[in-house]
Amino acid sequence: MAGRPMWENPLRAPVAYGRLAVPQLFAELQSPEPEKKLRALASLQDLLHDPERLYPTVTKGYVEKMKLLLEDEDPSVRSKTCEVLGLLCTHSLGRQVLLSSPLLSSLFWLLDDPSSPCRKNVLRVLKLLTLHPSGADALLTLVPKLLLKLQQQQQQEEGEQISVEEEKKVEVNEEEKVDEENQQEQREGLKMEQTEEVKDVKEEEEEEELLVLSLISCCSRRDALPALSSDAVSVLKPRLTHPCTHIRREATAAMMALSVPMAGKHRLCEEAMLPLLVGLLRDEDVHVRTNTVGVIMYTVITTAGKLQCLKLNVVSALLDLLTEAPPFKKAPRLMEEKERWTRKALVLYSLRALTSLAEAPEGRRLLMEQLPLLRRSCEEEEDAEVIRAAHAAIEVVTWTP
Amino acid sequence: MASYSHRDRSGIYSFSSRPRAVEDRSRTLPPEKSRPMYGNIMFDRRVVRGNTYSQHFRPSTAQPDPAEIRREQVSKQRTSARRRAREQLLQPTTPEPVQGRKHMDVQTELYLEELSHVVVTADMECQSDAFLDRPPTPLFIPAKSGKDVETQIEEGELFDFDVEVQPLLEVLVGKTMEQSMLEVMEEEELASLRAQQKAFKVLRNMEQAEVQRLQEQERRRREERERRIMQQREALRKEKETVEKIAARAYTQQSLVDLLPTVFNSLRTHGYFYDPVERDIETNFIPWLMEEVHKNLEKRETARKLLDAIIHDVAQKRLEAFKEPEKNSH
Repeated sequence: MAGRPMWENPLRAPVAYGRLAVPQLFAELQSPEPEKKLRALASLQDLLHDPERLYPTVTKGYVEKMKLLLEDEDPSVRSKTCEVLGLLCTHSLGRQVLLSSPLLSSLFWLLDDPSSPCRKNVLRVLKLLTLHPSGADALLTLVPKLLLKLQQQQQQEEGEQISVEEEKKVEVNEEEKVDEENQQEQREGLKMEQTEEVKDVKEEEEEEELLVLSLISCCSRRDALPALSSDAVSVLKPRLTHPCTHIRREATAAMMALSVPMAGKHRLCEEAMLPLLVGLLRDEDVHVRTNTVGVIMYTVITTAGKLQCLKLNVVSALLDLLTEAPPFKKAPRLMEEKERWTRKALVLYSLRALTSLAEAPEGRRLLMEQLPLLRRSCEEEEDAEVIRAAHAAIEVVTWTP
Repeated sequence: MASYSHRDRSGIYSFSSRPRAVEDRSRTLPPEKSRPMYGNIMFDRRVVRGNTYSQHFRPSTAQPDPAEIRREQVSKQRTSARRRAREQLLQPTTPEPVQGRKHMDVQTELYLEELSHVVVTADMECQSDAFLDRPPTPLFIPAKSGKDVETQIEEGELFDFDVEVQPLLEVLVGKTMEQSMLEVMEEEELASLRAQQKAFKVLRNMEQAEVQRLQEQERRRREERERRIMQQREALRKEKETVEKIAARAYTQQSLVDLLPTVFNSLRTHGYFYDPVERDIETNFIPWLMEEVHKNLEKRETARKLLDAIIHDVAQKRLEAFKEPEKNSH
């Protein structure tokens, strides 16, 4: 409408002053037109960054009114509502209110939404909820459903892969037949566009997968049994060798959370995951390696795990990891501190894994030969925890019955 | 729509209902919220035209009272009747025509004359001049008195922009910087919290692994111990059993040493070992012998019995024979 004043933004609803802002925006949310709702939601999003505005909104029970919006027909309204809920979750009071409200069931239902941005926003909201342990507890019931989604996605991907391979074969045949260069260029151009489109879709799916995996790992850290009972190990297996680094990271983190209880360890040994994991020890990404060593660390506590790992020659791989990390010094800046801790984690986990392996006679024999290495690393280190871990390892290696 | 007493802003007027333009709603459809259409008041049918002091008006709101209607009707009838009566008295009219006839005007003079009496009239109008607008009052310019003074503010005399703007700028920039620094600090704090959380998680995982390892170790050792204890117990039991067995064997051996001769002795005494000839003699010959002896003895026996019987008989007879005489003698 051409007569609108200049300061009015077509994307944002006008905000009233002071205490009336949020109630008035909520009143505007009741209108049936989706554009008005989107505008009001956008203004709400801007407002709720401020904790002073957020607390009265949350305590006066306006949150329940958003339930209707979550079941709206328009997908952009739904996804915007989820973004606003995400803002709510950045504060602990908002998280608590959300957990105790009936919105949670609507959010669960929205996970199967046909529109992809809506699903991603829901997953982000759920991820923020898991920041607090009570949130993670509440989401434990969701874990089987998430695993099912992953499985479905996996099957879909397999189906797509097969069809893509077939397409490639057909394209190759076509290229052989055509002689003119122009036509070939055209086709390549089309292919490029198609692959770009496919790539975009793939990227979105990967992001979703990433969020789902991180949710599963967060919840499994609280209690891994629901995930294990839903056969998480076999679902995560193909993700360990995924080309994308982030997905591998998250999958290995989830695996580490799963391997904490005894049942998880047994499952891992049964499903023959250890060869895969030992292969991942030589991965490029530090975090993937750290998580893998963590999984191994937990798995070799069981006797079966020990035997399998010794057969796979894990000891040498772990010793390599130990020696490649330089000795640690206190780092002044935050980023370096983070890096230092990641490397430190790697070293610590490897030492623990070696300690567990040393309890088996075969492992003890191997490590007796490497004893000077361990002693040297113990003396050179400045870091207290690493020294302690190395001492423990040496003790176990030199123990006699 | 102020329906209460409202004072105009300048304080000159006060009205009970604020004047507003009349909207024309009769032609267009009402519910449109578009720009309200104002009709031209000159062509509005609701506006009364002409002089108003001789017009009958009807109170638009009041319901016509039936009594009033009746009264009006009656008064109307009376006036019409009076008028009729007056006419009748003033002008004698020809009587009504007899039935079947019609009256007609006929001229009975010699010369035809127009029966009209047209009065020569001429229209004259007179109109006062239209009102002229009052000419604007000329500006009142009082006569000049006093001295002329003028003043002008040159640039730079009121304030020096560069100097004045300094504190403002400082405040603005300072606030912005402060805000941004606060935000950056918040983010850093959050990042350091997260880093701490991660470090803690790493340590916790480690310790958990250690705890689990030690638990496993404990479990294994305990199980090993239990197994060994079980084994030991088994061994002890077996040993005890063997000792008992040995003792039992020794005892039985001892008791059985004398057994064999005693057994044989008793068997022998019971006659289980026998000489076949002897046995044969015993079984066959001796019974026959005994039979024969028995027979012989039986014969003697019978013979003796017979003899006894004879003797008895004889004795009996003698006794009877003795007794009879005795009886006879008595």
